[in-house]
Amino acid sequence: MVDRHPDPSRRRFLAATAATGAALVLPGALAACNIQKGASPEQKVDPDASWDGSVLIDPPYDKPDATFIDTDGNPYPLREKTAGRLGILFFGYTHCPDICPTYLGSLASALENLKSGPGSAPIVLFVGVDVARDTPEYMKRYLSKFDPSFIGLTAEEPVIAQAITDLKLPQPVIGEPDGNGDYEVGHPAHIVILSPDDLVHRMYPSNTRQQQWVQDLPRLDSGLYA
Amino acid sequence: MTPTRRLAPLFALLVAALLAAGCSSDGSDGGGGGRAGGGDGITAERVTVPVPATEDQAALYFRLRNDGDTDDELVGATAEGAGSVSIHRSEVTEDGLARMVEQDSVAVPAGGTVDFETGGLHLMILDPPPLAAGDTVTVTLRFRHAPDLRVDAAVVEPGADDEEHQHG
Repeated sequence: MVDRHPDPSRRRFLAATAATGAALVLPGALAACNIQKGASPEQKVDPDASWDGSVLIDPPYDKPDATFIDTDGNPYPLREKTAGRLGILFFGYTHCPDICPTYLGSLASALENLKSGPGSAPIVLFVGVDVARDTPEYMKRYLSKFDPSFIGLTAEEPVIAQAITDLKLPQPVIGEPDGNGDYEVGHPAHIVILSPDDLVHRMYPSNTRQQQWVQDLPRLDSGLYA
Repeated sequence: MTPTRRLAPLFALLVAALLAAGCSSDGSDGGGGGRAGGGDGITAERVTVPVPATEDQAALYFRLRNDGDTDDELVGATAEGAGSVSIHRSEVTEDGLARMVEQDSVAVPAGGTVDFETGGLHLMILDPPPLAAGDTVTVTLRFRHAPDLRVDAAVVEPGADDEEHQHG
């Protein structure tokens, strides 16, 4: 069994849950909760399936010509690093309790389900717009909780702002700190797909569910976008 | 390996989470793990906390059901071993900016339900205790009228709630 996650504790936990949980808990749960309907875990990839929920960018955008800094401190020239590959780009922030972790968790689960098949290894990029708190070290730790292959990127604010402008997304809004120094951050809600033809044809809302990623990533990876 | 087998661990995890959280959202008595206090008044179902990615904050999701005759409001919450808990609503503005707006209170109408779910209402727990999947965290919800409601939130893998089937 190939496992994307090198974290042995996670693997052990999942295995233990599968062994005991599935055998002992599942029948009772199904009876008690009546969740059989629609609960089949089968994943079928249908090339004719609807693209509903995501947005077609027509005509497509060019990828931003931006050079970020990765969490190891190395330059990350976006166009060069993602050339010819499927990439998934999101502008978020690490002190985000709801939208960002939900997105990252759903995507990580989808990639786990796709295993080593088509669409299973996109370049997942998380640009931290809250540059004061989204330090390389903090972002690395944050992203590794979802999938160690996810790449955290930072940059000087004008670089991030220009990339966001290039993608016609709204600029981040950093709120005023409260008494505890906490503050709210507004960030672009859309997830940007970097297609293998090096153009941006499609964006997804941040609440995109795992099932949709499992359905769409293989066809996006094969170059389809509509 | 077939897709079914690949998903088995996640699915089992989800089911365990549903059981721990009390899985009734369709009017049936689903075991009641998350239904406590409040008498005929307000109950909370499917109370979950995805394992947070940082030690700084976590989110709490659930459904409130008001079976009483009195319109009520959620006015605050505490979580055992955590710092403050605040009520937030995530929203996306017309131009596509995602942001969180703190709420002083949330109406829980008589005979109604209110969902606290990702991308919408949620509680934000600051400085949560260390949380691992399978843990529970005791949360106390405070209302304008109803007595305090103590519930055990199930800590679940992030993304696990994604497979939860919305019904009811």
